[in-house]
Amino acid sequence: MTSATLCRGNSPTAAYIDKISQNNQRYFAQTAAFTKQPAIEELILTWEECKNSNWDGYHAFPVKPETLNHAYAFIQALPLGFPLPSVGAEPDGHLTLDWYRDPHWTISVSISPEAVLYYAALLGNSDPRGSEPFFGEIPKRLFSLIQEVALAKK
Amino acid sequence: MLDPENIPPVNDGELLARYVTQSGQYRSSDNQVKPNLFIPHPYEALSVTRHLKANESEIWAIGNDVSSAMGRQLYGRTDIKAGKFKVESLRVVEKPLINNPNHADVEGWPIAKEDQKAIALKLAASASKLIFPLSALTSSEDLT
Repeated sequence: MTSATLCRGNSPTAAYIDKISQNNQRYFAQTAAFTKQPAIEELILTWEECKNSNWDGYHAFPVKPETLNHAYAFIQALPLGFPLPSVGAEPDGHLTLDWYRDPHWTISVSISPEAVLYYAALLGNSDPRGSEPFFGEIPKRLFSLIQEVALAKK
Repeated sequence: MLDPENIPPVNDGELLARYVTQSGQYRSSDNQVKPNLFIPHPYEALSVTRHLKANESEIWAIGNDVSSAMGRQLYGRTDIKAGKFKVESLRVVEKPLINNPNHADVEGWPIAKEDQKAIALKLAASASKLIFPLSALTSSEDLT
């Protein structure tokens, strides 16, 4: 799997901070409140179902291992304790991560094997959409939209 | 079912069915269908089945045919009014098949993936919750 933790620099201090950060992330990831395991398990299950061509019977493209890796990295890049997405696949071989409050307040992110994030949201009457490359960190504009859905009060 | 020799154009008020053959196409928590159910790739059009002049048994029979041909489980279907497909550039066109005269295609999808997703979100928001085959059969039996 791809690690979502990026090196912040080449200095000994940066390496030290990265190591501490990774250790903390591993520690908190084990706790029930912060674990991302349910989303990871759903991700792997989805990949197993969709890793071969024609998985939908309508000539769908397979979900490639690199797409799985990017999706894994995306989930790991979420802050600890952040609401987890539901996972799906699309017939073009993209994996999807969806956050959902109700049918009119939702966001869907598609992850391609080339590590491009295609997203669209419904926020009442507003329907923002776009695409961004994924380099291991969630782009700010996209994360802001995810927050609007995932952290919205019910 | 519709008479193959006399297929009328799709009316905005008609109900259209889209079959659910993947567990990841609906949310088990509330049975709401997900937008990925409406992504047409790799085709340029999205297949739907018209309710017009079809009874529940016939609609489910088509769903069973579709899922059998795909080698998949039929989880259910979602229904959506044809007029709801009038989003951005979309249109619904009657496309009868030999074994399904009620077949129609949703055409006019944009090329950009994010635009397809934006439409799919709106369609999912307008669609019914998942209708299970068993409950539908039970309700149709109740009517007889």
